[in-house]
Amino acid sequence: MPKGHFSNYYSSGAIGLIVFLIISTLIAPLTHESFHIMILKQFDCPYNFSIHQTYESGIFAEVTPLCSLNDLQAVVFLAAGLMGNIFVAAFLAILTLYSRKRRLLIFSNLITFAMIGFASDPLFYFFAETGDIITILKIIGRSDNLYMFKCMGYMLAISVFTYLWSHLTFTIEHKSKLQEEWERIRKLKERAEKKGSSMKSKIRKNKNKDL
Amino acid sequence: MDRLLFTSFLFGFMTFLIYFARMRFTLPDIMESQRQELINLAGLVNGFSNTIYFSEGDKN
Repeated sequence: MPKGHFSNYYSSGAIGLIVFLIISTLIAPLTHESFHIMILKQFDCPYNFSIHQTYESGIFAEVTPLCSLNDLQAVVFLAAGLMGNIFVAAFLAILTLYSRKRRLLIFSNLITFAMIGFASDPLFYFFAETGDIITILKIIGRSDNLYMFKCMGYMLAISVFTYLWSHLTFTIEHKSKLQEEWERIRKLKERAEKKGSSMKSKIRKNKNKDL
Repeated sequence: MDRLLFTSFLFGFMTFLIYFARMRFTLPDIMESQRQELINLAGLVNGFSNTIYFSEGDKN
């Protein structure tokens, strides 16, 4: 493995952080709204879709249904965005595990950061003071049970960061093992080349003697 | 809490985790190399002291 591969590994961490920023600020909010739209299409409900931008919240989209939904439909409509992003994050986590098994370190690094980008959207809603979860609680009539959702948020945060930690330790350990192996092979090669050259000189000397 | 603030908090925390994980695994290597350097240095000093001793011994 050439030396460049290791620098690629390090840059994949930095690129992964940028991928996380792009996904968490731009793509995850849009997928969140697209899951809302999917549910509204299932209910045959017309909707209004608009994209806003503020300096505090960045770019965000808004979907307003233009029909009356009953309580259950409203809860499903509101929960779809969060659950959709949680499913996307879970799918990416499984993809990371698979790519780790195949020893695709750089790919698994990038996918892990993308996974955290998608998981940041439900995390944000679990800790936000306004948003889908608060509206769901208001519809159910259990606005006092906010602490339960905060506990769920903490559990999600702990599992996401434990996953990131296990991924980081695995990749760093694996990379150092690869580096050691690469050094060992390089030394063996050097030794073999030296032996080869000494053998060649010996053969030349013998030839000269024969002449 | 605003989304951008939350994202920047996550970004900072992740950067810290990456740095911490990398240090945790590379620090023992760095310490080992420093230990080797110290041993070499000690050997060098010992070697110098020996030469000085012998040179003085020769003079006497």
